[in-house]
Amino acid sequence: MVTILLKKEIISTNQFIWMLFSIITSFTTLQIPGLLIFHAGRDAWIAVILAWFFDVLLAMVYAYMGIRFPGQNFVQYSITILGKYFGRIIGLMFPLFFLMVTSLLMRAIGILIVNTILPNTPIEVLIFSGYIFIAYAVKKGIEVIARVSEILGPAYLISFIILFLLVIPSMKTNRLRPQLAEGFYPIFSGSMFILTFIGICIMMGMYIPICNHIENGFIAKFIAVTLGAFIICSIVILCISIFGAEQAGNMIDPGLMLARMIRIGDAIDRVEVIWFMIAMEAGLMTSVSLIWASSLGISQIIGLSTYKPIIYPVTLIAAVLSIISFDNSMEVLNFTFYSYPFIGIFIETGLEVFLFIMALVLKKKGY
Amino acid sequence: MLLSITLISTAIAFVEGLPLIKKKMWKELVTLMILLLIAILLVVEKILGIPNPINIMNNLLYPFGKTIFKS
Repeated sequence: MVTILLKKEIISTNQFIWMLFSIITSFTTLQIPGLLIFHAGRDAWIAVILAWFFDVLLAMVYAYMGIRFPGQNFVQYSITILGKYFGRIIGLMFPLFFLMVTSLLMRAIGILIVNTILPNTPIEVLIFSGYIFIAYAVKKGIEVIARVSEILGPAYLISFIILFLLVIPSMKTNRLRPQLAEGFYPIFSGSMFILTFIGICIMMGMYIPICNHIENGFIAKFIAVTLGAFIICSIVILCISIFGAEQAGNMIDPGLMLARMIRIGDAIDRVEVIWFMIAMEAGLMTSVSLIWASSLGISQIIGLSTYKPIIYPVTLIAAVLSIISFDNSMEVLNFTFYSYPFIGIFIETGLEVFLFIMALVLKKKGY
Repeated sequence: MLLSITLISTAIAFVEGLPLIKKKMWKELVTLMILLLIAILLVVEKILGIPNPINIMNNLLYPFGKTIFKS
């Protein structure tokens, strides 16, 4: 007889918040503020606030679905709502999306490390060593990931606050004016762009069923996304008011450049490595969560008794994708800027709202 | 690249596959093998110059992105 070695993994609301916080903040503070400022110019910070609003609306849908289908994540309830075959096709898109985001994120981290601290190291080595860490962490299970995030999340938040406090003296707020010089279009399209990156926290749909209080899904997401939007908004405002919109828009990583601005007296400078280290770790933990969600989703689609055996293959596929998909960093930026937002909007908003409407129309419930 | 990915896949197949054979979890074993095969096929695709799924999506969506976002 097959023995099922699956014990139910449970996370607390606090861990839920910090995991979502590192997911929202890690990807969005690497290359994304530069692209956003490039697109929306001085109005980029309004786009972030608008994206925060849309994301809270989206969170309501996810939280409602989590309560309507207790104990089921979105892969499982898409099968419940749409049936065995069509539901599986729709449900498979979420894990595949997470796989794609992981490969993109790891490539972005690799590019940053090569550009800043290890210029002579081949990017493949950096990416593979990152993935070894990821595979090891996912193998340990979500409870371990949650506990690590619980330690790392506050450290990440504090590092940001210290960074902001130290660079505030160099701000020149008149660089933020005039507002709305190019009308509302850059703000709306910019908010859609940043929403697709904040929206990676649709991961909440995977966390709600394993949280010890499923009704806390919305409040956890609200706290995490508010903190995250505050950090992104501050980075955008500080970058524009310190470097100017044109220069900040052409930077690879404006957050790192901000950290490079720190000077304490004449003795201490170039402390960006400390901030960068924490940011890398948050990025890796995000990839860990994404690979976990991806392997769990795939195993549930196929109907396996446990997701543990397919962690290594899924990680290998993500590693291969991040190495072979792009030939240079320009291609990564082009994909992130021009193509990724459509995929993100389709999966994060389109599919979930579709599932929500179908659940209401077909009157499906999880209890 | 192909050699290293094949070696890693073989190693994973042994490490993860043998316990599954012992426990007679055939469905898990087949999934494992198919996923490893996909990883190898992606590299073969790259060597033969066939675009992978990310490239295909990029080629499809890039023109739309160019019109919506500032170029």
